[in-house]
Amino acid sequence: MLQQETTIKTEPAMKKEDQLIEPRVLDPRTQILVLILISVIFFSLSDLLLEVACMVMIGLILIWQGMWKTALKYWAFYAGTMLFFLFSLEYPNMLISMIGILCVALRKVIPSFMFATAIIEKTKVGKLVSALQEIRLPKGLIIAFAVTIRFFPTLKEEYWLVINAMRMRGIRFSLKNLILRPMLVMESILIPIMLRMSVIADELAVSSVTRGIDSNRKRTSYYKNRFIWMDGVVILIFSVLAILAIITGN
Amino acid sequence: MISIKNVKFSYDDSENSGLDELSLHIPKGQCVLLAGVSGCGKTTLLRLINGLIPRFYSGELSGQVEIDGQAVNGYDTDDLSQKAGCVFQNPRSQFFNVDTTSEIAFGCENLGFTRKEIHRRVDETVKALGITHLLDKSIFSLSGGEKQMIAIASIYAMGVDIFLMDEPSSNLDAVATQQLRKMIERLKAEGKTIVIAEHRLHYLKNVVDRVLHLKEGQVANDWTSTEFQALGTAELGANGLRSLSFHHLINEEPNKVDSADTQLQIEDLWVSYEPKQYVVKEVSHVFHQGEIVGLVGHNGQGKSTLARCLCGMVKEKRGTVSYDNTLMPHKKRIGNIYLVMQDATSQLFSDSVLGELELSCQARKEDSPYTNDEILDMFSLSHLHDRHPISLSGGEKQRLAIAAGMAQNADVIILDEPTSGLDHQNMKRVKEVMKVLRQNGKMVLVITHDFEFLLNTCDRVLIIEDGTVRTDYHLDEAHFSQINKFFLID
Repeated sequence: MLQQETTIKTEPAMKKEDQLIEPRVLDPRTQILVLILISVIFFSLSDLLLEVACMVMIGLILIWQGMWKTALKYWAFYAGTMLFFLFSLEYPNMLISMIGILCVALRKVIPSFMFATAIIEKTKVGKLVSALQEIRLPKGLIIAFAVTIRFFPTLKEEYWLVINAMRMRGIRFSLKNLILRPMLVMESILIPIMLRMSVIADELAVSSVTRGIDSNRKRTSYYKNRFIWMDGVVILIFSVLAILAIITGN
Repeated sequence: MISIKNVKFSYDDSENSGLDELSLHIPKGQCVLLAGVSGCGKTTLLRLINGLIPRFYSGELSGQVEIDGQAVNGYDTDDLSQKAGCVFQNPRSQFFNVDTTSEIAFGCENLGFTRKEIHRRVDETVKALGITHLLDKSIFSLSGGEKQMIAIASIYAMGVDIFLMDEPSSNLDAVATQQLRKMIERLKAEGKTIVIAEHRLHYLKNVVDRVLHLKEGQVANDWTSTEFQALGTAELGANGLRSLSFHHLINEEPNKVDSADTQLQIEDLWVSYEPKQYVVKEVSHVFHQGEIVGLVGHNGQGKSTLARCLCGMVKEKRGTVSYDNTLMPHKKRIGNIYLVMQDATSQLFSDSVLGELELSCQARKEDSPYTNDEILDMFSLSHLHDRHPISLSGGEKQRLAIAAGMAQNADVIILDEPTSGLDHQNMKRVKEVMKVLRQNGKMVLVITHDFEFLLNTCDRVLIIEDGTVRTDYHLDEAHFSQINKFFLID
């Protein structure tokens, strides 16, 4: 989309490869659909084999997207929870059983987190918003979604700012303080963050209003989403898995 | 063309000042600077032009505001947003998206332009403004100056004729301020109408065609560019305005101190956040009590990290810090070397001004030589002692944060950009506060981009470059041209 760049000579040369090769990533609409299908597979209480097949597929998608390290980490984590669960059956003991149950719960949510990681890492928010517009979600909802994503990094910055300020004023965010002076610690974190956030939210609202956020026209997008063959393959596989899960599930 | 006739406005929450029978006319293509003390009505005027008053800020409004012969409140909001766009003071809070391309396209998307049209406009915008290299980047990785460019690009892409800017330079360093100036010159060359409200006047003096001096909601002076440049500092100062030239500010005899005094000694300090990537390297320096030292440096050169490390928030990888010949490992420095943040809101935790000092008393290890009342008095906060810190003005919050450090027996006080967005008078107040600290035996370091404040206040300056102290000298006549060059003045 930006191939005309070459005509500009005054600016530093861009890394052409970065611009021209589209990163390997699924269409955002596929991603949303697959995320739903994964939940169906894991909460329909069907065969363990189906779950494992699903995990393998998610891992393969991550590897296709160039995230093999993340894939391996999640696979290892998943295998770990399964092993510990089996172990807890062998040694019935209060604590071990409790951790065993926790492992089962974790096993059910790991796949969703794993796939969400793939979405967040590789998909531009603009593309995601564009996809949500294409599937005709209400505008208010989409804007809320976009703002939420934009606020996470800001929240992180503010959080560390306040934690450091607290330390300097002699309020340590420690276990001891959390137990002895819980109100002080919570107040000290929350109030400054909320105040700052409300200022930022106000300023953001003003800046968006002057740029037509409340226009009545139908919102369009800079980005265009295109299905590629991989989208078809992925949707097909996960649909089959989900159908099998529903049929065999109880 | 902007025309304002007999406009009177007062905000519903009367704390903000409004406008009083203000009339003015700005022809198309003019570049106008709005100057005046805080609360003179600069921002209010901008809000009237882009329709935020009365759409977003309510109050009592009379008179007429017109753009191109049509009343602003008669415009369809979509049309108005394509007439006048605004760049705001805080580069952090005006972005809706997380990447630059989406942000530039944002307004066009809202107005429902076709994808082809949006691409054409984004393309044209980045070329016209010379920011092709900023496309497809994370907003959070940009410098303050780059963020302001994206803000300008975003409204440029919408095709606005009138660019309103509300203190666009107050968070920018010298390099970024010059980038901003060049950007404004480009817009001006394209025949755009530009209205800038600003405290820092110097960087604009050769750019603007006209200067409107506002006072208590009215136009007190309407200067042409030539008239404005001829104004002396005394005259500007009397009107509460910042200086246009700086040479006279140089301290004839900076406070030179005896090297035997109490010292803060840094030896071979190295700091990194990631292995082997040193942000601060081999910094060695001795600070003396009684000196106010300015830490200056462009963004990303390590001065903030150095300050954070001195305050004990970041642990050094190598090297030592000692105060008064006692070694201070990083945990011991927390609270003893005290940082006053740019926005003091984040460091106030109590529900009253006095309570804030009591909180500090709990944190200190030994008794303070001053009572809390004495400290409040020192920073002229006594009359506010039972107020909630949130209800204070920015300057009062800042003084309270400093007072809290005082009550905590901090030996060294570091201030981070204490004058960003302040007018002449408030800047002088900060200077007085720093003198109070010095009189009470505190060592004062100040991180600043504000050249006028630096010359006014500091005795010595350290230039931080590439993570280390590049130069270090007294702020006197002999070094004026050097520091002048660093701040890219003329």
